[in-house]
Amino acid sequence: MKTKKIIALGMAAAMVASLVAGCGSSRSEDESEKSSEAVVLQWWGSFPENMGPNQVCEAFNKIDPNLQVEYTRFVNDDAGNTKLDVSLMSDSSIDVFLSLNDVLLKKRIDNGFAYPLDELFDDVGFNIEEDYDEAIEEKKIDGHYYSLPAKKMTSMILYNKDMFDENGIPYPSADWTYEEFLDTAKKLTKGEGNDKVYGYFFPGYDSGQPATSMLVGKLGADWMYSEDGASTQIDTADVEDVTEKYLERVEEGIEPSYVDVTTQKMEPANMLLTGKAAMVYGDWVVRDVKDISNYPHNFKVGFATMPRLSEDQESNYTTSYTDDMSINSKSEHPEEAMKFIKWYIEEGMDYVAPFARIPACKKYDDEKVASLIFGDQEELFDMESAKSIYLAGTDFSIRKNLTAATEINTILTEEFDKVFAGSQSVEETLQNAQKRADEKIEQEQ
Amino acid sequence: MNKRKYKNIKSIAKGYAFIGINLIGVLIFWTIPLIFSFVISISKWDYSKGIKGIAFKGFSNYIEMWKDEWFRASLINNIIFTVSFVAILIVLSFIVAYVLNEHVIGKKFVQLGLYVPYIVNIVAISAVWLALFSTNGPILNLLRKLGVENPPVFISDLHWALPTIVLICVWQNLGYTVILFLSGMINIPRDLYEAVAIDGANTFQKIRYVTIPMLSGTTFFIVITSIINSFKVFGLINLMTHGGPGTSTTMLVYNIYRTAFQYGKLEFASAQGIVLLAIIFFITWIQFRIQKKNEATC
Repeated sequence: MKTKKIIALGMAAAMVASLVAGCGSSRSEDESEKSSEAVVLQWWGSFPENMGPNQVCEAFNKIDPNLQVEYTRFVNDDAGNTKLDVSLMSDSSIDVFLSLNDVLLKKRIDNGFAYPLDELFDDVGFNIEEDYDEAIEEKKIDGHYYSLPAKKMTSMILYNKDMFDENGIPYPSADWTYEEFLDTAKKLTKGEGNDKVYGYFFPGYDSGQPATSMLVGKLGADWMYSEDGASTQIDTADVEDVTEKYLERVEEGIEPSYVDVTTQKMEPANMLLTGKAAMVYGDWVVRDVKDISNYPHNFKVGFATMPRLSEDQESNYTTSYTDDMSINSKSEHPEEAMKFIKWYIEEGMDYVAPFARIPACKKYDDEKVASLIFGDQEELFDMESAKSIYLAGTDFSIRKNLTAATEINTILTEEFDKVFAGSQSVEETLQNAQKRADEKIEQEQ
Repeated sequence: MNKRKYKNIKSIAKGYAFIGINLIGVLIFWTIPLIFSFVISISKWDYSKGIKGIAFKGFSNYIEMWKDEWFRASLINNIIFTVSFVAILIVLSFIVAYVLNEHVIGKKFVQLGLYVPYIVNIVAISAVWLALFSTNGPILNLLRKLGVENPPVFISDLHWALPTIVLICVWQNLGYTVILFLSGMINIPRDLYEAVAIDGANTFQKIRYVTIPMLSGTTFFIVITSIINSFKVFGLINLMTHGGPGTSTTMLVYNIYRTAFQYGKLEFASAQGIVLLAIIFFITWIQFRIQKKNEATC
C-alpha cells in the first residue's frame, strides 16, 4: 500500500520534471539550429495564401537556399489584427508584417513594433528614389521610414456598363461632380423588393465612412484633423454637407441604409456582379470581377473616379498607398527581412498584382501593370477607363495625423451610428463627435 | 508524540502533493497574471522593451478611468445588463422548472431542448441570431406580417440592442438554470407539500412557503454565478454588436479588450480589469454575508 503511494508520488514528480525539462531543451535546440541552418523569415499578411503569398514564397525561396520565407495569414478584422499585435508585442516570431490600415500601422509604429527601415537601405542596396515617386516622403515618421508600401490604391467606383447602356445614360466623365453622380445614380435606381437595383453602393464600414468617403476627395485622407493635427475638424460645414447628402441618398433609395448593409452583410462584389447595384465603391472588387466562376456575369465593368463635391473643387484626393511592409523591431534578421521587402516591392508584386493590387514601385510601368492585372481577361472590363482611371489615379494623399486615431474612429462609429439610425440630428452628431475626439487628443498629449 | 507529529507532517505533505499539480495551474494561469496585471495597472509600460520597460507610475489610471466615457458607459450598461439578465433568468427558469416538474409529459425532451443552447458554440449562436434579426430576416418579417409598421431593427437599434442581447443571453443560459432548479425541486421532500396541503394551502401558497424557501441554496448559487458571468459577458458582444450601435452595448470586458488590444493601452485596461475583479469580489462577498445571515435566522 505504502509503496504504491510512493510510486504514484514519484511518477507525478517525474511528470512535472519532464514538463519543465521539455520546455528547456526544445528552446536550446532551436537556438543551435538557427545559427547553422538557413534563415527562415516569418512573414505575416492578411491576403489568403492562394492570392499571391504562396506564389511569392515559392519564387523567393528559389533565389537563395539560405534565405527562405514562410507566410502566415491573419484575417484583416479586429480579431486578426489583435492576433498580429499580440504576437508583435510578445516575441520575435514574426520578421515581416503587412499592414493594410494606416491607423493600425501608426499604432504599431508608436508601440515600437516596427524597425526603422531606412537604417537598412544601404545594407541591401535599396534606393528609395529609384523605387518611388516623391509622395513616398509622406510615409516618413520622425525622419524614419517604418514601412514601405507595396500597393497603390485608387479609391473609385466600379460600374455595370450594361445598365448604363440599357438606360441610355452617358458613362461618367473623368472629372464628374457630385451633382452629375447623383443624377446618374438616381436614373440607375430601379425596382422594389427582390428586384431592387441600387444606383450606388458603399460597403458598410465603420466611422461614418458611407457618408464621409465623399469628403476624402476634397480634403484628403486626414479630413477629420486640423492642419497641425492638434485638434479635430469634424463639426464643419463640409462634413455636415456630405452627411446630409448620404441621408438623402438613403431616403431616396439610391443607396441601401447603413443598417441594411451591416445586418444583411451586403458586399460590393456581390452587389455589382449579381446586378443588385449599378455602381459600387471599392477597388478590390476588380479581383472578383475577374473571378467568373464565383461571380458569373456577362457585362463589362467600367471605372469612375469619386465625384468632386463641386465644380470649383480643384484637387481630388483618391490615390493612396497601402500594403505597408514593416519589420518587427525584435526580429533577429532585420537585414534579411529588408532584402525580402526590397525584392517583394520590386519583383514580388508580379505574383500579387494579378489579384488586383497595383504595384506602388515605379519600376512597374503602366503596360506591365495592366497586363499583370487584366491579363487575358480584358474583355470583362472597359479597358479605356481601366487605364485612365483605375491604374492612373488622381491626387495623392496619405494619412499623416493619427493622434488617437483608433479612438477617434470608434467615436465616429458611435456617433454616426446614431445619425444613421435617425436617433440623433446631424448637428448634434458632429458637435458630439468633435468634442469627444478633441478630448481624446488632449489626453494623448 | 514525535511519531504523531511526523505522521501529521507526512499527511500534510501528501495533501499538498495531491493538489500540487492543480496548484501549479492556478498559479500560472491565474495568480501570476493577476499580480502582473495589477503591477501593469500602476505602471507605465513601454512594451516594446518587454519586462524591462515597466516603470512605476502610481495609481493615476484608477482615477483617470472614471473620467473615461467608455468605461463609465460600459459600467452602466453592464449594471443594467446584469440586473435585467439575472432577474429575468431567475424568474423565467423558476417558472419553467416548476411547470416541467409538475405537469409536462416528455419532460426529458423539453429539458434537452432547453439545454442545447447552453452547450452550442457562441459563434454559432451569434450567427443564427444575427440572421434571425437581420432586416429581411424571419423575425422582422413576422412582425411586419403581424401588422407592425416599422419594427425595430433590434440588434442595430440604439434602444433595442441591449434588451436583445439580454434576451439572447437568457435564452442561452435558461437550460442550465432550469436543470439546477429542477434538481432542487426534485429533492424537496413530498411530505412537506402534503403537510401544507392538510393545512389547506393552495398552489401559490405551496410555492411561496415550501418551494421557494427550500430552493434558497440553489437560487443563491444561480444568482452568484449568473451575476459573475454577466459581468464577464464578451463573446456575444464581440461577435454581434462590437459594443454598438453608439455605446449601447459596450460592456466592461469588451471595453477592457478594446482598450488593451485596439487602443494599445494595456496599463489602463489592466486597471479596469482590477476594478472589475473588485466589483465581482465585492458582490460575492455581500452575497455570502447575506446567505450566512439567512442561515443563522433559519
